[in-house]
Amino acid sequence: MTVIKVQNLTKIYKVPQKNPGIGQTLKSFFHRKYKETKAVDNISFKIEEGELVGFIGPNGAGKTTTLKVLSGLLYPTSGEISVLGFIPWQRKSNFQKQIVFVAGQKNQLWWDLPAYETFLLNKEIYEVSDKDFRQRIDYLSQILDIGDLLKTQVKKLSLGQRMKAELVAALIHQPKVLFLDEPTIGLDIIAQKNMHDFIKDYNQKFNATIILTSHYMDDVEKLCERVIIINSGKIIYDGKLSKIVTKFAKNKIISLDFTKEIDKENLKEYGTIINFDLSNAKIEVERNRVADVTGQLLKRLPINDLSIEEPPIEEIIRLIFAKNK
Amino acid sequence: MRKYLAVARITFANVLVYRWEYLISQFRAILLLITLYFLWTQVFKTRIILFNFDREQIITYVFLATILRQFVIISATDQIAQELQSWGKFFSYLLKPIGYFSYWFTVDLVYKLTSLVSIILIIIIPTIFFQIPFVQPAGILTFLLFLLATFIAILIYFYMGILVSTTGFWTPQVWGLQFMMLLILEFSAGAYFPLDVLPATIQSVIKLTPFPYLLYYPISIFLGKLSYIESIRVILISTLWLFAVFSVTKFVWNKGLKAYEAWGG
Repeated sequence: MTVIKVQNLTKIYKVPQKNPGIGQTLKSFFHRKYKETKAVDNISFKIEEGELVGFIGPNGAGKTTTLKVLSGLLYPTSGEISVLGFIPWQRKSNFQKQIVFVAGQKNQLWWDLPAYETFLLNKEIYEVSDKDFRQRIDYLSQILDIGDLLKTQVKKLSLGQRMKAELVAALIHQPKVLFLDEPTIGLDIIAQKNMHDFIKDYNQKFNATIILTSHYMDDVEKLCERVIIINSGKIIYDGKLSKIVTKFAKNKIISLDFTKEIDKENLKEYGTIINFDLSNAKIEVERNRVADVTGQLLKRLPINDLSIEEPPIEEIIRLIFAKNK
Repeated sequence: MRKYLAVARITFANVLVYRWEYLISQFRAILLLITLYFLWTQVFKTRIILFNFDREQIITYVFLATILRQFVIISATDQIAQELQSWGKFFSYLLKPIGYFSYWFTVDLVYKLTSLVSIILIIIIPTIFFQIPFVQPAGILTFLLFLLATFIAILIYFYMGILVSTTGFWTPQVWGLQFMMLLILEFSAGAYFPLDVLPATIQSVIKLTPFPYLLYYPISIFLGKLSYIESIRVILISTLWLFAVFSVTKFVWNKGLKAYEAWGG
């Protein structure tokens, strides 16, 4: 079942322009100038039920804007969007009961009260039965390992703890579609790993459809099979994460370990040297020449160990963005 | 309905967190009341009737204005401005199956009720101690008209509060406007003295605005200063004001929402 359908979505922001100073403020009050920015530029994609898709791109690429349009916060400038068969920006309550938007930098918890109070409030707002509520709190607090945090004033929680509580509050209505905007921002490595485990579990247990944006490739590599890479409002890649490498990386990396020290000059003819320290080296070689080069290396140089690696995804994506600038 | 009860519950829990700040702010109202009480008592030492009020009437006016102020003009709507600026909560409520205005009206009512209960509890002691004389409403109908006028006043002020806060969509400096509104209001709603004290021309100008319908007119109805016909006329006009304020607020709010959507927050 296709849960999310986006066709030719474009979103243009009209941002009022104002120069500093009181005079300018008054002037802009009567005669306002706008600058138009294309945040999302004619993108289309489909997401099936139960998919966990990573949305990656640099700051200002249009990731968050797309999520905001999909969740119904913003209306699109043009294009057709359907989520669970609804038009998001109409904000129908049957739609709202099935989705959630969690942003790492925004919070909905009541600051001065224990998080549990917000859960109770959300329970009523989303009309969740007592039984479901208890079950879900049990499940969520167990898997996120929060326990007695629920009774502490939210403002006294650490960032990681608060993020967990935010997630519980966001999931009490057990949404079918989750939009997670940088859910791991500011979290330490352990909290980040917990978050990964949790997102994966939730996705599998409830067959939930999840779109996740992140700056950290780690999030995406751990969680998403499919990624959509977006830059300057345009989709530049949509497909399996594992295919990015073969599509964008023209080279492979050969790591070499020598039995004795060799001269750097001897390596130059095989490929680009990435690093070299007498008895170790890494060279970059074109994908289709790898077999050939490996054979020659083994024949001509005193090799103890040799391995062939793909370049790290992070590196490839950095190159893609650099190229698209 | 259960949704709004839950909103009321959590709001009340939140008010309790700040109970001391809250009591201190009530203390201000009490000090003001005591000052006004002694002022008018002195004034009435040398005369019996002033501005068409006798001593009991003016004292009842001052007490009632203090109580009603804590109910009609105490509002949570000023927090909407902050919420618009910091986005966090506003953002999440926009995505929830709950009406934003209804949500805030519930929060507002809780603020008003806690405020009303505490001010009455605080006032009761000095009232008994000084044996302060009060005017009773002339009859049950007078009292009902007074309640109706007060209810409409609450709604008018609720939408006024939202209207002022709505500027938060465009500027972070809402507090200036909020402060100005409070100043105008306290003067022209009759919070400290009946408007009859003012020169006739100023009175007639003020009576063209919605402000006297917040405190001055409801209290005048209570004191029997207006006949039934006049009371009903006042209530009709305040209903018109309610409708006008509501429409403007709704219009500006939708504009703000559009602007927010266009700029992307």
